[in-house]
Amino acid sequence: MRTLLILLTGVVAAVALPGSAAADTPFPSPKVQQAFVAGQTVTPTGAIITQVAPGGTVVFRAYAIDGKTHKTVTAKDVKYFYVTIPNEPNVKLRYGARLPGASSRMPWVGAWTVPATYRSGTVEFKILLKLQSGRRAQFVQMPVASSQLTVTKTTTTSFTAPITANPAVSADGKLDVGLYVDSVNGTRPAGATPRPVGCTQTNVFKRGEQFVLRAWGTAMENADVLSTENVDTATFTIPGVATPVTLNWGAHGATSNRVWFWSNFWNIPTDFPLGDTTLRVSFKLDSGKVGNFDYVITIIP
Amino acid sequence: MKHRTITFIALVLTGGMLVAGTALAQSATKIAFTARYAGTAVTKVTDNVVDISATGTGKGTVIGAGKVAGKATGDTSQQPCIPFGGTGKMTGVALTTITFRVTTVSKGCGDESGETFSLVGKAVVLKATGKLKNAKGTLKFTGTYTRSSGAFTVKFVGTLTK
Repeated sequence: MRTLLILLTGVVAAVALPGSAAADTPFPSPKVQQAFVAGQTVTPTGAIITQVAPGGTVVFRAYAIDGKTHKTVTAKDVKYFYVTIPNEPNVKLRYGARLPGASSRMPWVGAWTVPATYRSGTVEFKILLKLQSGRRAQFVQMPVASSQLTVTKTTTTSFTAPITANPAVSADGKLDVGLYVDSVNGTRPAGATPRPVGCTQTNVFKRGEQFVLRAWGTAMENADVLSTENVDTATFTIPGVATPVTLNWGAHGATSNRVWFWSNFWNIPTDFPLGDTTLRVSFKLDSGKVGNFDYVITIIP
Repeated sequence: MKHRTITFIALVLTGGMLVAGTALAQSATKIAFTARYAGTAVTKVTDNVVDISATGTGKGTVIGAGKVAGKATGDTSQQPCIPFGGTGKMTGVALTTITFRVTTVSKGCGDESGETFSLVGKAVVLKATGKLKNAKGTLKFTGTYTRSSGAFTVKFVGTLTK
C-alpha cells in the first residue's frame, strides 16, 4: 500500500514538474513547434555527401512529424514540401521510400543537379514544409561549415559507395520523439589516413576511420528540444559491439555560431566486417518516452 | 453461518482500513525540487586529475534564495567527457540546506577546443535541514561551464522524500 502511494505520489509529482527549457542554444532552437523536419543530402544511391561538384547531382531526402498528431507526414498531409536553394529554382520533394536516394525513414526526396557555373562554397539550403492543416516547419543544416553541403571542384572527401541493401526501419505511424541523425568523419582516425577534410557528412567509412555520430531531436509531447534536461540516456548501438556508445550533449562549431547537439565517436576496427551495417540510435527521455532511429552505414576497405 | 461470514468480512475490511490508515500515516511526503545557480568554478589540473571548487548564487523551490558550493575531482584522461565526483551544499532561507554527494556518473563534456562544457550528473542528498529537514533523494543536475572565465550554471531537478 505504502509502495503504491509512493508510486502514485511520484507519478503526480512527475506530471506536475514544470516543463524545462534548455539553458543554452540547442540546435535548431529550444522549441520545435508545429512540425518536425529532418533532412539529409545524399547521392541517388543513398550515400550521404557533403561535397558535390558542379554538374553533379545531390538528392535531398527528409521526413517530417506533425507537431499536433505526432504522425509521420505522408503525401496526403502536405500542402507543400520543397527545398529552397540560393539562386536556384525550388526543388519539390516527392514521397516514396523506393525513390532514388530515399530510405524508409526519409521517404521524401528531390534531386538537384548543380549547374556547372554554380559558385563554389557552402549551399545554404532550407527545406520548407506546410501541412494541409496549416502547420509549418523548416530544416536547415547544423552550422558546422565542414559538414554543410558544399559545392567544390575537388570532391575528395565524400565516399559514395551505394547504400541500398538495408533500409532503415520504417517510421510509419506516431512518434514520441523526432530525431535527426547524421555522421561525419572524425579528424583523428586511429587506423586509417585522415580524409582531406574532417567533419564532413558521410555514411561511408573505411575500416580504421573514426565514425562520429551527431543527433538532435524533439520531444513531441511538449516540443522541447532534447538536451540533458529532458534526456535520461542517449546511445547508439553497433551490431557486434557489446557496449552501446553514449551520446554526449555538448557545444560545437565556431565560437561565433556555436550550437549544442548530441554526439560521440566510434573508432571503426580495422577488421570490422565490410558492407552495410545498421546502427540503432536510441533516446530515453526522463518522461519515459523513447525514440529510436536506425542509421545505416557502409564499411569499405 | 451467514453471521460468521459477515463478521469475517467486517473484520477484513476493518483490518484493511487500519492497514491503509497506517500506511497513509507513514507515507512519505514528496517534494518536487528545482533550483538554479550561477557562479564561478576554479579548476587545477595535476597530471590527469582536475580539482574543482565552485561557488554560486541562485534560488530554488522550498530552499529559496541562497548559494551553492562544492568541491570535486575529475579524471581528465577521459575525453571528450570528464567524469567527476565530490560533495556540495546548497544553502537557502530559514536555515534550509541540502548537503549532497555528486555521484561518479556525473560528467562534463567539452567542445572541440575544450572551452565550453556541458554538465550532467546525479546528486545524492546526504543531509537536509530547515524546511527540508530529513529530506532524502537523488537530484539530476545539468549545466554549463566555460573554462576561460570559470563561469558555470547549474540546475538541480528531482523529487525529495521526507
